Amino acid sequence: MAGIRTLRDEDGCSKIGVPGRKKVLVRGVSMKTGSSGSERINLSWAEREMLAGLVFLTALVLVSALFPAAVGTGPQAPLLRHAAAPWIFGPIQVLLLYVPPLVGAWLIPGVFLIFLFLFPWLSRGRGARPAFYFFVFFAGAVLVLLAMYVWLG
Amino acid sequence: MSQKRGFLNHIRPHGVSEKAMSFGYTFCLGGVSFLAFIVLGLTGILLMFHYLPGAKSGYASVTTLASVIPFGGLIRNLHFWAGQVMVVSVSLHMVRVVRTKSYRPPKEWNWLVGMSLLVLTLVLDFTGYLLRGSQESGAAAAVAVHILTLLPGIGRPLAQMFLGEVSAANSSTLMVYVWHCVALPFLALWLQMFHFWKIRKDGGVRPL
Ligand code: HEM
Repeated sequence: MAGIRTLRDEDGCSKIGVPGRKKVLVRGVSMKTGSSGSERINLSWAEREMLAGLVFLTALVLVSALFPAAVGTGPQAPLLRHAAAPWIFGPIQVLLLYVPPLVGAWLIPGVFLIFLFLFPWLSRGRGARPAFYFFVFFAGAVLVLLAMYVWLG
Repeated sequence: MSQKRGFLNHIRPHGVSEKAMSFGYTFCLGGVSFLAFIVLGLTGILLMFHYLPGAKSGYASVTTLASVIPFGGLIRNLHFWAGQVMVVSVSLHMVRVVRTKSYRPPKEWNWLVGMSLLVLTLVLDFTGYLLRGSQESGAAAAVAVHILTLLPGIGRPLAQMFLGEVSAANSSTLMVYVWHCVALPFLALWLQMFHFWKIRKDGGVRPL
């Protein structure tokens, strides 16, 4: 594949990796390979990242030009009867429809957050499998609640 | 250009492993999060030239930005969409780290840094929503205060400390403004720099 060079680890990170072992590295500087006539330019990591960044920025500008952000209802307008939380807190809003506030707004999100913070430690040794399943369960629950939030408006 | 000098090579390694550069390993999600953060910082500064926090002025300046100021609408849309993208990309980045088991030692401490960044990202998104100063923002502010005060004893002081005098009638207070535009972004920037430094310290992005 273009861009592959076998080099000794020169990035100063080898203290923790495997010292002296040969690795396939992408260089920081692009270079030409092959004899003249069949020359290929190997993109450096910096160039690849810049290309990815340009694609992202172009998409972002397009979306921003096409889809304006809402401004909401002004304070002077007639009072709203129903207000939805910003979508990122939609899952909590849906939870609050079914469980008491302390449970929906503190207990469940709190347990989830503490679980996430401790995840690397919980998933050591024999805990690895249950911790992973919990992660999938929680992530799935967030997605289901988000879908319900969109569905209920 | 010498391969060992140059600014880029100074902050990043001379060579990066092919695996770490492959799209299917990271899906560029950490990089996208960082780029979105930079866009947010730049467009945020531009928005600050016109935005005025306050019960009426918050919403008024947002509508002026959206419809009167040249390119104000575009800058605001960029800020909004970059914010939404960042919430999604940071969350998916976390899922990627779980998928590749990159939270294992010695990377567990960087997972903690990442989790703090996830929480910060959510709080930044929320405070930004409050600054809009609309009735919806007011309702969100009232709910947030209510939820905080549910905590016995420490709830009310917490709400006072972090949200100040926000209410359904005014979500665009000076306190929310300073949190959103100064304190939280600087904290997030510092944590991200630490996150990147730690990635290299932990041996770079590579399968363990
Ligand atoms: C503002 C938010 C964040 C930014 C800008 C960010 C940025 C990055 C970048 C650029 C990388 C390099 C590899 C990649 O792109 O995937 C990375 C790696 C990493 N991130 Fe994040 N990150 C953020 C949040 C998080 C979160 C929420 C977590 C987990 C809870 C996390 C945990 C990690 C870990 C453990 C690595 C090392 C991965 C490996 O070695 O394969 N980060 N981050």
